[in-house]
Amino acid sequence: MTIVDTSLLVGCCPFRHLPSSLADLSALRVAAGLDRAVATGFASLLYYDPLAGLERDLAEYESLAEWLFFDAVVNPEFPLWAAMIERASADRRLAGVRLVPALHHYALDAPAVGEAVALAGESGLPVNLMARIFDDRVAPRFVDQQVPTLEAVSGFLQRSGQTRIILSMFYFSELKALSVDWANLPHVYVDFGCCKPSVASLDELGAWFPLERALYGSGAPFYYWQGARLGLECAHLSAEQKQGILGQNALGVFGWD
Amino acid sequence: MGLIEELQRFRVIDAHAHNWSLFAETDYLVQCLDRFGLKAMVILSNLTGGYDPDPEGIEESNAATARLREAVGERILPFCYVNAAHTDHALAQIEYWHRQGFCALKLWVSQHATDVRTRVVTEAALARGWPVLYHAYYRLHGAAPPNEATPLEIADLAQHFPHGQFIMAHMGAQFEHGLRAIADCPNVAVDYAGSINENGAYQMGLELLGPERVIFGTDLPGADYFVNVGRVLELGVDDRVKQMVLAGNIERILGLD
Repeated sequence: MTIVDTSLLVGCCPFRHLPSSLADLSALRVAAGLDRAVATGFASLLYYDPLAGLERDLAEYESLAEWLFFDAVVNPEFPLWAAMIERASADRRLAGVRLVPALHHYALDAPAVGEAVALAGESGLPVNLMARIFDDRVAPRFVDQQVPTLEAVSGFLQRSGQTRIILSMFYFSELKALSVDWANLPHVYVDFGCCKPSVASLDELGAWFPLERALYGSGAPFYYWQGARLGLECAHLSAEQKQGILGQNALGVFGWD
Repeated sequence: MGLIEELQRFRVIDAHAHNWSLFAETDYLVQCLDRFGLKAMVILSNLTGGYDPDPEGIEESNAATARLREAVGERILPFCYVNAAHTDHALAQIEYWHRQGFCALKLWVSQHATDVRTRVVTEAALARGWPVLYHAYYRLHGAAPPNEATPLEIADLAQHFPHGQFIMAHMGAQFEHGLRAIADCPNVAVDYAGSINENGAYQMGLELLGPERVIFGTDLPGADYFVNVGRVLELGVDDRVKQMVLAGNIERILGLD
């Protein structure tokens, strides 16, 4: 079975030590049986200049490039956002673009956001809209994490054209409450691994979401990974559906098939 | 070995669950016990009456726990729930449910741990050989329930009763804070039950408190079984330690065979 984790969180976390060295991530790959993974680095997320942060992440993990890919964190208010996207499209190590309005505090309906999403789409890159990094209850008080409203997310999805969009780090209850018709958004994928669903929720996931667009991401090593995997493996889904969520669907969205 | 087979090698007791929401249905709860392969489940209360339950709410909650125990049998480990602010009633509940075979005391958010009434009630429970499981939360955001206890309050209570056994729930939510608060109280064990999924909590608990003081629980049905148990399975410790966390420690504390 192909396993792709679409949402690792790696690098030097300013708030606690993470097992995120080259050896740690290699061990994680073995333990989780990962064929590939897409990571976001704390330097990319937290540097004033996200491009400088990305370059640091890529350099630090270059020796894992065979299986470890990165998202380029783009802040559409930062002057170099277009260069970031061009950089991403030219480098095989970069799997897509990641938007983190919860940290960068731009509006999802800002013109630059639409332009960035369009350019990513034209460049063949999926865009990951990350709801949050930290659990809202225990986020550091000195991080002003502003999770976008469901109305803003819904509007963003409606405006995103043909660009492939991945929603990540949303809570399961938020995803269910989004007022969108998933069938009419064939370019929208959802990472269900990192939203901590109950196995009962996964049992009935196919009743409201197209399973061929469900992805697995864990948030490891910042978050524990094995519970989400166990839930998916124990859910009342067919073997084919589980294979899709755990890896096959990701191969398609990243153009790796 | 697959993840499911790995889990099945262990004896598991869920030491933190509630019979509310979906678990108010006994048949459904039994299905879950079987599906998860649980040896037993601690039932803390159905939380009738909210943050400050009156005596009628407390009685209704304990009666529901007793009915569940009657229907399911010894796989249910019933804890007596009280509101220490209604001190005389709490003392009578402890006396009554002790005679009915309940095995411990549960305190939630209706009284601070430093409240003199809490000490009176705690003393009565400890005198009957009961451990005391106490919700504790270091709340970084939002308004706390008015009488919610913090981890430092749990430490204060445990130091007042150095021969009593306490379990601090949720590791106090923000685990570095919670674990540091009670580290020097050898009579306090912890659980990390719930949906906060930050990697490092169990590891720090084991390192700071030792393997005898870390207990597995889920907070079902408000959180997921697999998300919780996966955290223990992925720890880089030997199987003996995992077995202590997953069942051995709560068996020892409750005097189970």
